[in-house]
Amino acid sequence: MTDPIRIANCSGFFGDRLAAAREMVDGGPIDVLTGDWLAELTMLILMRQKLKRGNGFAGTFLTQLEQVLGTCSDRGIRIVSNAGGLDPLALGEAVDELATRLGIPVRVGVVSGDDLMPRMAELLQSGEGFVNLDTGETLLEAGAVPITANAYIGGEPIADALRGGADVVVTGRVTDAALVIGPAAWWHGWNFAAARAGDQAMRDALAGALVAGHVIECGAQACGGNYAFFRDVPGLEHPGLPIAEVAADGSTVITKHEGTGGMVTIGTVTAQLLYEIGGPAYANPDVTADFATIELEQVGRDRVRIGGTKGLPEPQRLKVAMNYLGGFRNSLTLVLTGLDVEAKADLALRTIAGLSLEQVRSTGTDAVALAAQSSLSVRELAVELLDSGIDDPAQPGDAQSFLRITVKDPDDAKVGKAFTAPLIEATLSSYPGMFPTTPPGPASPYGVYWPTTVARENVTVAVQVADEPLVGGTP
Amino acid sequence: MTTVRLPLGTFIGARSGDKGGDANVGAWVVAPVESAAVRLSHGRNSDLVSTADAVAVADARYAWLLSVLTVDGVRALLPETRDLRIEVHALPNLRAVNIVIHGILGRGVAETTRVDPQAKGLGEHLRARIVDIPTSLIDGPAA
Repeated sequence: MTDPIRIANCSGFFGDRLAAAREMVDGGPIDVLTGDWLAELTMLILMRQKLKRGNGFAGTFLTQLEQVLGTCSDRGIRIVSNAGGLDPLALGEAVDELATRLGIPVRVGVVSGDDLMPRMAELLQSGEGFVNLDTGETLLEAGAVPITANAYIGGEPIADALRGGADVVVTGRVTDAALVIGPAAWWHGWNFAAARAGDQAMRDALAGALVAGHVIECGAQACGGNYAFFRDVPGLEHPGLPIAEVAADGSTVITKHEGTGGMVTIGTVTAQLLYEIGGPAYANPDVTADFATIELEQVGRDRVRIGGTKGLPEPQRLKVAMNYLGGFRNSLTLVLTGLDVEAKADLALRTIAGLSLEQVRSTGTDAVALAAQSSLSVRELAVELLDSGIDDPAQPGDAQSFLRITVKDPDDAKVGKAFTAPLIEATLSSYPGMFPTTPPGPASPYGVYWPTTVARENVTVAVQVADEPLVGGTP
Repeated sequence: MTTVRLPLGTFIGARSGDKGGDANVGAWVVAPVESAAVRLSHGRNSDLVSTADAVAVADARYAWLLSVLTVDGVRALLPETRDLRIEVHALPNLRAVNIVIHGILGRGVAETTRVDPQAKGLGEHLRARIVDIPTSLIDGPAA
C-alpha cells in the first residue's frame, strides 16, 4: 500500500493569488503542486487574448512557475496545471524555454486534443449536433458559430504524462478534478481500464480522488474563504490554500499548511462539496462520483477526512464548453436618491427608452420584447430597479437606489454612443438628482456560453513528454 | 410548537455559483458538532458539547431544512426564481440540499444582465430571509 499523495492547490482561477505557488511549495511537504486556471468564462478571455497577443494560455502560471521551479526540481515535486487553456502546446514550449533560461533540467509533458475547433466542420458533418444541454437546440438550429469549443478531458492522460516522466504537465481544458485524479492515479498505480470494465474498488478510488479534486479546485474556498460563517474563521485576511492527501483507496484528508490562516472543518469542506454541482451523480470522464455516499469526519485540527465515496460508471459522452460571439453590450446605472424612487425611474425610462416602468414590469425579463416596445433601436433591453426601500434615510447609502439599463445588439454602433449620449444629455432635464455611477463607456463584445457534449470517440487526446509522443491517450 | 422569526442563516450555511445559465445554491445545516470542530481548530478543546445531543439537534435542524427548502419554498423565499425550473436534491449524509435554478443567468456569465452575473451572492441572499424557526432548534447546544 502506497502512502497518501499530498496534492497542493495554488490557484482557483486565472487571476488568483500570485504568491500562492511559492506559499504552497515553501509552506510544508507536498508531492504535487496543482491548480485550476480555467473557468467557463476564461476560455473566452483567452480567445480575446489570443487574437490580440498571439497566445491563448494563462501567462500568470509562468510567473508562478519561475518562483518555484528550482525548489520543485530539487525536491522532486511534480507540477500539474491546466493553464494551457487554448494553447497547451505553446505553454509547453514556454515552460521549456523558462527552464532552459533558469538552467533547470525539466521534462515537460503536454496534454492536448481537447480543442475541437480545428475539426469543427468534420464533426458537424459526421452528425455531431452539439445539442445545447439547456435548450435542446442544435448549433445549426441556433445559427451559432462557435469561437471556442473544448471537450472536458479526464485525469488519465495526466497520469500517462507523469508515468512518462514529466516533471511539469500542462493541459488544455481538462476537468478541474482531473488535476487531482491524474496525479493520484499515477502515484497509486490505479488502472483506469479496470474501472471502466467495472472494477468497483478502482471506481471507488477514482471517485474518491474526483471528490478530493472538486474540494480543492477552488483554492481557499475549502479553507474558509467565501464561507457563510466567516466570523468563525481565524486569519481570513490571508487564508492558506488546500492540500488533498489522497490514500490508495481514494479516501482523502483535506488539510492546509501549518500556521496559515483560515480553517478546514466539516463546514468548510461541505460548503465546497456543494459548490457548482447538480444532482448527486457528479460526472467526470474517468468515473462518476455519487455525492450521496460521501462521509465527512474531523480527524484533527484543520484535518477533515472524506470517505465512503462510491464510484459509478463514467459517462458515455464528454461535456464540451463552447462559446460564440453574441454581439455587443453596454450598461449604464443611474442613481435615484431619496423620495419617489419609482416615479424617478419611470421618468428616466420614458426619457431614455420611451417606456413606462409599468411596461417594463409587465414585460418582465424578456429582453427582446422589451427592446421591441422601446424607442431604442437595439435587439435586447434589460432594466433592473434596485430599490433600497429605506424610509427616512440617514446615511447616503440608505438614500440611494439604482436603475440599471443594459442594451445588446449585433451592431456595436447601436449600443455605443448612440445609447449613452441621449442618456447623458438628459442629466439636466430629467428627474432631480440624476447622475450615473460611472462615466459612459464604449460597447463591448460578449460571448454566449453553449453547454453541450461530444461522443468520446470523436475526441483524440495527445500526450507528449519532452517532445516525444506517448501512445494511449484516453479522454 | 413555538417558533421565532430569525434569518434562515442562523444555523444554515449556503454557497452559490454558476454553471452556464444555471445557478446552484448548496445549503447545509451547521451541526453543533461542527462548533466543536471549530473550537478544536482554534485549539480550545475543553468545551466540547456532548456528541449525542449535538447529532440529535443537527438531525432535527436538517429535517426542518428539508421542509423549508422545497421547490415551492425556494420560490417563496427568492421571488426572482418564481417562473424558473428548480430542482432540489437532498444529500442527507452531508445534512445538505443542493438547489439548481435553471436559466436564472440567461446564457451564462458573459451574456446575462443580472447584477450578480455568477450568482455568487444568491446563497447569502437566501440566508438573509427571515423565517419561522422552531425554538427547539435554537435552544440546543449553541450554534
